[in-house]
Formats: sequence, structure tokens, C-alpha cells
Amino acid sequence: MLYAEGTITGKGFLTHEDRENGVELQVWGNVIVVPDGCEAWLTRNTLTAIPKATAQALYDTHMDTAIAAFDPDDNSEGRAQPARGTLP
Amino acid sequence: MAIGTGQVSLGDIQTEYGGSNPIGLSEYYDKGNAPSSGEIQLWADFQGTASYSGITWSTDDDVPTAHSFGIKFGIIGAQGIVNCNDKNATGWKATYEHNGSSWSTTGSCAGTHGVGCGGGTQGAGVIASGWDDVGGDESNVTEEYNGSTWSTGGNMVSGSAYSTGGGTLQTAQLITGGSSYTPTVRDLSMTQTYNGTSWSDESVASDGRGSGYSGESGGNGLDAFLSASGANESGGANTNVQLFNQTAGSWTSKAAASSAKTYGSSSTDGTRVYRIGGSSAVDTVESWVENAWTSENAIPTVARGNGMGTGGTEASGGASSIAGLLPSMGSKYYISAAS
Repeated sequence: MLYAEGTITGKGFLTHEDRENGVELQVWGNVIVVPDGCEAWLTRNTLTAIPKATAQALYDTHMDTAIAAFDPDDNSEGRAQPARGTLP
Repeated sequence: MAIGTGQVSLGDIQTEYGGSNPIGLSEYYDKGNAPSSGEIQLWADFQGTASYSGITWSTDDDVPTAHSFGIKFGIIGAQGIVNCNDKNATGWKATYEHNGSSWSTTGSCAGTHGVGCGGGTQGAGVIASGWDDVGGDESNVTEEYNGSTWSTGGNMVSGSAYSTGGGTLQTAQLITGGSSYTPTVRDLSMTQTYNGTSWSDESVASDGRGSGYSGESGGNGLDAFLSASGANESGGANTNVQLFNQTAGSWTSKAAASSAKTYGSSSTDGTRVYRIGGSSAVDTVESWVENAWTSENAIPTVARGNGMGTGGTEASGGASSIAGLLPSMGSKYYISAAS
């Protein structure tokens, strides 16, 4: 897997052609994860590959903020308490 | 088939609404836009009108995996739904298409759009907003479907979750209401529209109801877009209704719905907007056409989270309800025909 810090920036970030070429994008907070071999896609979107440990730390920080801000009294349907996970 | 908007004859009215010979105008009280008594004017009361007896539901093929709060696009016979609500659900992010005979699985979406908005056609669908179950925040991401894969569209002006909105075209979407988080802000009143490339702030405030029902009532486009029921922070679910006119840049209050509901499914034939099921787990269905509500036949089981957004324009009439939150509703696909 390839890891980068960033978020979806809008139209053209991920195209139908990208999908057909195997860019299976996963976004975990402010961490972007794509399969190996997607270096050109990262470059096109001005994203820089970072080590997995660095990505995991960024993700943990992002999730800690979301967890701290979560209102346990918010009973909106399907809105579960955010929780840390492990990046693939 | 609706009566035309040109010259209207007695024969046109009889063809559309039935009746016996010799034709007597009194047969057509309460038909079209005619009054219940007094003078009937052929053109003014009947041009552009159509007979309508309601919708009848039937059970179609089960969706391949049970899920809730999927976002529907397309129409009966060329339907789609994308399951992007719960990261722990089977088939999370999967897209399913129904061709009138069976479901097939196509490309997965990239983001997470719990209780999001969307619509469009099977070959040009769109989803946006919603609760990001992975990032623990609202989503500002838009995704566009081309019949096989999802790509990213323009980001929303401001992300939101539990909003009201959608649209029957990828190039004409509306989102308003709901919440944003970190910090939590309720009753978002910004009216955002999408033209297929970018979102715009229409600079006109809605009443901020989220998780409501919606759909175009004036044909394709956003000049008669209905937002019905849903919830505000204060008072919860309510019966308020507003109609948006993009050209005029306005929201106008309309006849209140008969009951306060949220988290149900919407459909539209371009004129009549349906609200189908919803919290707290009801099977009731109503339709709106300027400016009155009609009680429709109930769906076969109670449902909520049974297809968010609006889907496409059901040009042949009818409405759909896809999957839902309850075990009894999990994978059920109900369609209806209008008569």
C-alpha cells in the first residue's frame, strides 16, 4: 500500500479512468491510502508518499480529535462514536 | 398521459378522465384543477393535467446484501443504489444496479456518505454529503457514477451530514439542512446546488430541516424542488414543507405534511413527489403535487433508511423503496406503478 497525507480535493482527483486502472482509493480521515503501483496517481495529485507509521500517527491524531468532539447524546441514525482503527 | 398545454377540447378531457356520452362538464368536478362546483373552464382547469388514482406497490428482487441508508439513483427498471453508510456492513461501498430483472454489482464508491444525498440516472448518478463513518466527521465529498465506476466530483462549498436534498440529474443537485461537526452546528440553512462540476452557495437560507424528503416537482431542474418534513434541532421531526426556486432564488413555505417523519425514501415523477416510510418505522406513503398532499397505499412493510436521495425522474410514474434499517426491510426492494 501507498500512504499520503491529504484529502479529496474535488473533480479530477479520482477519475473513472483511474478506477479502471486500479486506483482503489481509501480515505481515513486525512490519510489517503492507495494500492502499490499508484505512484503516478499520487504525483498527479501533488501527494507525497509517507511511511505507514507516519500515516498511522496522522490518522490517530485525526481520530483523537473526532473522538473528543463526539457528542454522545447525538442520536442521529447510524452515527457511531468514532474509534481508532489500524490502517491497511 | 397528460392533456396538452395547447387548446383543450371536451374530447381531450374525456380521454384523460373518462366519462359517458353525451359529455357533461359536471362529470369533471374535482378533476384536474376544476373546482368541486360552479364554473369549469376547459383550458384553465385542464391544460397540462392528468388523471391520477394513486400508486400500487409490488415486491421486486431482493438487493444482494441487506443494508440501510443507501443512496438511490436511477429509476424503476434502471435503478441503482450505493451502500456507503456503515463501515461494518457487508458490502460496504458496493453499488448495485437493477435492470428490471435482476441486481448486479458494479464499482464501489470511494468515500463514506452515511445518510447522504444524491440521485441522477443509472448512467449518471451522484452522491454527496453524509456522515463519514471512517473519519468521524461530515463529508464534503461528491462522487459521480458513469454506469460502472465512481469518480470524484467537485467538493461541496461546505460539508454536511443528515441533510435534505438530492436531485434527478447529476447536473442539478441540491443539499440543505442537517449538521456539521467539530464543532457541532445544527440546522444548516445554506442552500447548495451542484451543476455537475461545482457546488454553489445559492445565498438563500432554508429552514435547515435535515433528513427530510425531497424531489423536483416541476420537471427536471431546481426551479420547483420540494423539501418536506425532516427534523430541526429544536422540536425534532416536524411537518414543515418548503419549495425552492433556483431562478427566483427563494424558498416558499407550502402546505404542511400530514405527519412528522425523517429518514425515509423519496421519489418523484417530475411533478408528484413521494415520501415513503421513515422514522419511526412506518409504512405510510404520501405524495405532494402543488399544493396538496395525498395519502397513498402503504409499502408492504414498515421501513426507514430505505433509500436516501431522490433517485431519477420516474417518467412513467410510480416510486421505489430500497432496503432499509430494520431486519424485516433489510434487503427488500419495493416498486410501485401509478394509475
